[in-house]
Amino acid sequence: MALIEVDSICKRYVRRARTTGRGAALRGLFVREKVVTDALSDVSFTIEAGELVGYIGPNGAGKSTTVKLLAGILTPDSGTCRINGLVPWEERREHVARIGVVFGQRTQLWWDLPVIESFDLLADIYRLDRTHYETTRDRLIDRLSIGPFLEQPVRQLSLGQRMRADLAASLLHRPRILFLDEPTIGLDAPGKLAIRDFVRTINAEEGVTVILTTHDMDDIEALSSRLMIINSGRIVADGAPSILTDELARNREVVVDVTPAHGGEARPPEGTLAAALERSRTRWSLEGGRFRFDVDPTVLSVPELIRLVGEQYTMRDISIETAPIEEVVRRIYARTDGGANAPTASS
Amino acid sequence: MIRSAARPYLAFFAARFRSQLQYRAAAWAGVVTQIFFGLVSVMVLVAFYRAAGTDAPLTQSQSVSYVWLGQALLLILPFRLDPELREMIQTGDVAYELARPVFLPLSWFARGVADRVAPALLRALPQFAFSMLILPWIGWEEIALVPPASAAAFGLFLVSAVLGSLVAAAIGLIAAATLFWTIAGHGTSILVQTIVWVLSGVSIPLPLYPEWFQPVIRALPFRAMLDTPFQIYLGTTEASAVGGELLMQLFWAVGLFVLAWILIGRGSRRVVVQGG
Ligand SMILES: Nc1ncnc2c1ncn2[C@@H]1O[C@H](COP(=O)(O)OP(=O)(O)OP(=O)(O)O)[C@@H](O)[C@H]1O
Ligand SMILES: [Mg+2]
Repeated sequence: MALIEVDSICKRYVRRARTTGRGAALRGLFVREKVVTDALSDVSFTIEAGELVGYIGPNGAGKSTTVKLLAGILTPDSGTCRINGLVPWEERREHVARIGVVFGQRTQLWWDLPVIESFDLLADIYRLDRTHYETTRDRLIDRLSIGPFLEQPVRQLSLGQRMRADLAASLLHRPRILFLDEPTIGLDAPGKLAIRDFVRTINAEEGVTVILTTHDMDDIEALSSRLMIINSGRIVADGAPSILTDELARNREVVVDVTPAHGGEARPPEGTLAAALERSRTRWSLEGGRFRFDVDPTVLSVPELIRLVGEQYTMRDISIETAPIEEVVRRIYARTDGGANAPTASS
Repeated sequence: MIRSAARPYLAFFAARFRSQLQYRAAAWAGVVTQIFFGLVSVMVLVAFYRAAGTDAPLTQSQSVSYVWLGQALLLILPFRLDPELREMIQTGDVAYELARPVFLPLSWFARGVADRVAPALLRALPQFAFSMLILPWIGWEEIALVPPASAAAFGLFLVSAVLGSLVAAAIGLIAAATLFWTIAGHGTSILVQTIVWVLSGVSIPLPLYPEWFQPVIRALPFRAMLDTPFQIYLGTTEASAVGGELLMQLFWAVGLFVLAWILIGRGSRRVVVQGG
């Protein structure tokens, strides 16, 4: 049995809201219209122990909703979920004692308590053995460089400091699973790096299973061995980043600077090169002696393309680029934008 | 075993207690205000006794003492909704509280008790010093706080005051839980303030209310916050009746807590199901 099994989860938010538009003010007195949002539609996935999963999707896609369900603080309308063999929202207290969770947008610490006292309080809440707790705590303090602000009340911390303190707080009870909802939001570059390094370490060295949501593509690139992409409440892609890239954005951009054989402007391709480009439907441009080819390597291999270019031109420089993950994600979002979880109103 | 079960809640209490003790400056300002209010109420009472004669259920000095005790322990009363709870409930952030392995009503209750006991303690000592020692010293025995009826009465008064804080914390919790259903919470605040003001004894000592109203007072939990400990202090509750009175307080504390628990359970389930 996998560590985390999620099967056909649906979650619909129903909100009563005033209506807008003509006559709404008047109608609002009498009827409150229902606004229905399908935040998750038939979401299924399994995660094995030790995985580090990047969970991404555009704003409002359903990421936080998923994390809340996994953390046991939200109940779905249908579907099942087992983590460590427990149903999170049914056996909440047993479940949450075994997981760590950080919501980047808010702190789990106490505003008016110094960081160290928040930690001590958590040790009592999780009923931790004193010596074990102190060992774990001191290691976390060391690794996340929390020492300098240990005595400061949480309300005085910078965002980066607070996030590190929150991360430490989520791991004091040594959970084997960690949910991170946008842990790098609002952080500067060194702040993000610190979080990334740390997450990678606890995953690799201690085998903690991590699910991390983010909008930061560098996070994804640096961290995830697996990407789950959600859009409009549906999982639209799930796999290793390289596989997704191959499937969705396998084209290479090949840029070649050429010198015309007889001086003057480079002439458009002819003969075998022109035929090959035609046959493989490769898009290309030529401007000021610089070729740009957008080539699908399964139809026309890059070495073959270079060879053909070399036959006709003298090449000065070559660069080959794979589409960045950002591009892949953009394409997936665009392709799957059904707007299925856009709120719909009914009275 | 029990210690381990209670550990998170004792920790909530201790943490909150310590952070409340930080507000010493506010406490001193409060002491001054309450002494002023106490003096005014006491003057009114003395005038009332001069006019009405002496067949009241409390003697003048008992009434005056009752008022001073009320000023000393004023902050036990649930006058104010806990602003953090209010915020959490109204924004739906209460769901995040469920990410911790604790029984939410009990951790809120522990916090509520600390919120009452700590500030009351901070203010009680200077207030006792003023009304019991300084007033007689400057020659105003007539409006001073009398010493407790006996040493035993004082001990039982302390026990009863703690129980009173539990009752008050439970009432505060119920008031906060209504925010799951009401939007603004101003209505609840005003209602609770009014009821507490009138029925706790802090404005007018409860024994001074008319005879016909006494059964109503006795049937409601509000007298269990301040009136019960005060009457034990003054000795107007017979020694043989003290045990029953303490049990009554315990009954209200537990009963009201269970009610708060049910309300919070219902309310937070709504949030958990609907996502706030
Ligand atoms: N409590 C709620 N009541 C009503 N609708 C909600 C509620 N919470 C979320 N939604 C809606 O559900 C959908 C999914 O929200 P969710 O917070 O899961 O998105 P997300 O992927 O985390 O987005 P973001 O990247 O902006 O954090 C959105 O359309 C959102 O407006
Ligand atoms: Mg989110």
